[in-house]
Formats: sequence, structure tokens, C-alpha cells
Amino acid sequence: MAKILIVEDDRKIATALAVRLKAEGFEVEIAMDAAMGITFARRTQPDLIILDISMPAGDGFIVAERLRTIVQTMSIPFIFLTASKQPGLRERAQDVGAVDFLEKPYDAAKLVATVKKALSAVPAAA
Amino acid sequence: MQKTPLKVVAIDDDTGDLLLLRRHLEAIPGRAVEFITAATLDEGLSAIRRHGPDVIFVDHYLGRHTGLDAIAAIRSQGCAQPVLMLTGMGGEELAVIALQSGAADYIPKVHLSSASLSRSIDNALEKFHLQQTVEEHQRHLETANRDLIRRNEEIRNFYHTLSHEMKTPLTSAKEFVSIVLDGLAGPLTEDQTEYLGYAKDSCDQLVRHLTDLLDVARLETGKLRIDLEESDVGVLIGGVVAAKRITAEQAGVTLNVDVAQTLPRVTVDPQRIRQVLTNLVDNAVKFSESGGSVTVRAEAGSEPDEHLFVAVIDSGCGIPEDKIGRIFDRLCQAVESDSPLRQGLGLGLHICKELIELHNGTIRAESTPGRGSTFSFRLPASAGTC
Repeated sequence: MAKILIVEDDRKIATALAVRLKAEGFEVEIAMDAAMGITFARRTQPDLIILDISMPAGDGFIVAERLRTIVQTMSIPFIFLTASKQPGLRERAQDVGAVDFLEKPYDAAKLVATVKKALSAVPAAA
Repeated sequence: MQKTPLKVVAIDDDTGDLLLLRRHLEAIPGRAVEFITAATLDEGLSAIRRHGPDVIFVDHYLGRHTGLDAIAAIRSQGCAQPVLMLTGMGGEELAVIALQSGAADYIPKVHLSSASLSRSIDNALEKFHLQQTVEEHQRHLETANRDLIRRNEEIRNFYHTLSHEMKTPLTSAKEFVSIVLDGLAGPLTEDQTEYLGYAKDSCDQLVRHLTDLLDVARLETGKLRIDLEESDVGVLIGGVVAAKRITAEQAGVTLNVDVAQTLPRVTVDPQRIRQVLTNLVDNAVKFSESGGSVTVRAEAGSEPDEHLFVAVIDSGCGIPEDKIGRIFDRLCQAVESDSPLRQGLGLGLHICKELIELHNGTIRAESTPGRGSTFSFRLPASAGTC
């Protein structure tokens, strides 16, 4: 069973994501801020991380860049999730190595499809 | 006529010349003069500070100083009043230098008369007054411009906050409704399914309205940019039509796709072109009656700057003649406000037009009331060219 880490500061959205992904048979863990996200990722080494971009104490880009420097987390694929439509955000996401990009409000079917695609494209972390 | 006396500071080391100047000034008809004299530049500067004159006369030869030094010194102590330069000798060259260094006029003492002084003073004061007015306008404009820049920035930040603050709760509302509706929180009764279905539709509608509002805001603040990539519009059309098929079937409307076998590829923002197509197809289905049809046609363009031609043709109610010219205007609604067909904010077609124009393309609407409408757009090979 693939393990997914959700890094999202909004508790409700984190819960909604978790419910949806658990229903699809995934094991889910939630981190409510950037620091927790990095710690959890290092400790539990999930197969995929869903990363919110806009968080008050350290945004998704900071988390992504940090994860890339830690041996245990550097090859874990991650998907960005954001409500922002700022131009150039997708390019930035690609630059830091995101495998995909989801916009809020997200569509449940698209979320699941994106997650499955991300998991199948990159072999699960050993 | 009693005028406020003209306050004059005259700097000259020759008392005879000062006396002469005073006489001529006092002889100017209709002009009262308060005459303050100074024999050296330092005395003159202090008199200017003390009295705040309207006009300053400076002799070009002031002991170890020249009139040009005097002008520089006067200006450097913050006095902007007109300075008239007097000299015992003439000479074009000196006149030019004097004027270039900021003297309002240059008067050889041999030509001194009440008439010439009066003219020079009037000119100098007029010029000074105009300059003050221009500078004041300039300052107003600069302030107004700064305010506008600041306000524009505030509006941009506001939209950014608005976007985030509205999308976040909407995301969780929509998703929790979906979770319950999909049975992830336990089985539902038929009524519960029906009612939650309405809630989900409303959430989706809110999402669309919010997206439209934010797009218009971005268009108006110039913040909406397009991310170009080589795209197959045929594939985009296929996706949009597939997503709309169920709604169309429910409305009894046939959806046809008429895309040329070999469609030229274009460099566009695929998400934005999909948005335009979705909007046009949505409208076409919405305004078609049961038994009607909607056709999406795409083919290679036939004009030089037209690489690709796309049309959405419906057999709906058409657009009234008085509306068709304004159909792409912001807030224009094709139907009256009491019509059951009326839905949305009246921003959809406006956004379509702006998006197509951001791609350097054109969009147009044709309609025969009662028989249907055709919305078509043309795109160049690349949105970056043309």
C-alpha cells in the first residue's frame, strides 16, 4: 500500500485530501506546516508527497528545496497543490522537480488520477 | 489702482547705477516699488533671505564676483524668483551666458529706461508665474501617479488575498460535499443524494463564477499571462466535447465534432484555449432547445495571418440584433434578466475575447435570431508572432 504525505496548513483541506486518498486505499499522513512536513518525510519516507504552496511558516517551494538536499527524501516524488494562479508558478514547480501540479479547488477524480500517475511514473522509494 | 508694491532687491557696487535704476523703476506707470539695495553679493543674499523679493537685479560686475556667480548663489539658497542681469557693457556672448545660467533677462545699462524695465519685469514675472504653475501641475501629477501606482498595487494584493481566502473554504466545502455524496462517509438515502447533488452543483457554479471574476481582475490589472506551448487544438476540442456530452444529452442537444483530419498545430496556452472552447460550447448547449444541435468545427485558416479557424455553431435562439455588437463586452447578457436561461455574471464571452486577443487572434459572433449563432475564432501559428 503506497504511503502519501500531505503537507497542508489548512486542516479541512488536509482532512478532505486524506479521506479521499484513504478511500482509494492509500496510507495517509498529514503535516500541518513546512517544518513538520520535512520531519515527517525524513522519518516515514512516503512514496509521494502532496505539497501545498502557500503556507505561512515556509512555503511549498522551501519544503521542496529542502527535501532535495536530504538523502532519505531526495528521490520522493511530490505534487504541488495551490490556489494561486500567479504566472510562472508551474514553471517554478517544474524547476524544483515537482512531478505534477494541482489547482484548488481540485476535482476529486483528477486528484486521484494525478496521484496514481505520479506513483506509477516514479518507482517507490526503496 | 493700488497695487501691492513690487519688492525689488538690487545688487550693485555702484551707488550711482542703483540710483538710476531706482528712478527708472519708480517712473513705471501704475507700478509701486519697494526698492532694497545691496552693495555686495553677501549683502544681497542676506537681503533676499530677509525680504523675499519679487524680482532681483544683479550687476554683472560685483567686485570679485560675476553676475553668474550671483545667480548660482541665489539659486543655491533656495530662491527661485526671477533675476534680471544688468551690465555696463553689452555683448551677445554675455547675454547668452547670462540667460543660460538662469537669468530671466539681460539689460545693458545704456539701454535702461522705464519702458524697457517694465517690459523685462512683466516678462520675467509672467515667465516665473507660468513656470510655478507648470511645476505645481507636475507635482500634482507626480503625487497622483504615485497614488495610482500604490492603489493598483493594493488592488492586486487584494485580489490575491481574495483569491486565496475564497478558494480555500470553497475547496473544502466542495470536496466534503463530494466525499459524502460519493458514499465515503457511509451510505446515503435517495433524498440525501439528491440534495447533496444540488449542493455540489452550487459549489461548482461558485467555483466557475469565482474563476471568472479573478480572470477579469487579472485581465484588468494586466496580470493575466499566457503560458505558450505547441498544442493540438483538435485534442482540446475532443476533451471539451467529451466533458460536455452528458449535459448535452440531458438537454436533448446533439454535439457534433467536425475537425479537419490534418489540423495545423499552434503555439498557444492550451488551458486558456480549452477555457474559451468550454465557454463557447457551454453557451451553445445552454441556448439550444431540445432537439437542437451544436457543432464544433476546426480547420486550417484561409487568410495569411490566420493559421487555425475554430467555430462553435448552434441551432439555438440566436442573439437579438441590438445585442450582437456588444456581446463580447463585459457584463453584457444576451438574454433579459427575467429569462430562465440567464445564468452567470456576464463575463464569460468578455474573457473569451480577451484571451483570444492575448493570443493575437480574433473572435467574432454571427447570429440569425431564432435560427442560431456561430462563435468563431482565428489564431495565428504562434501567439508570440503576428
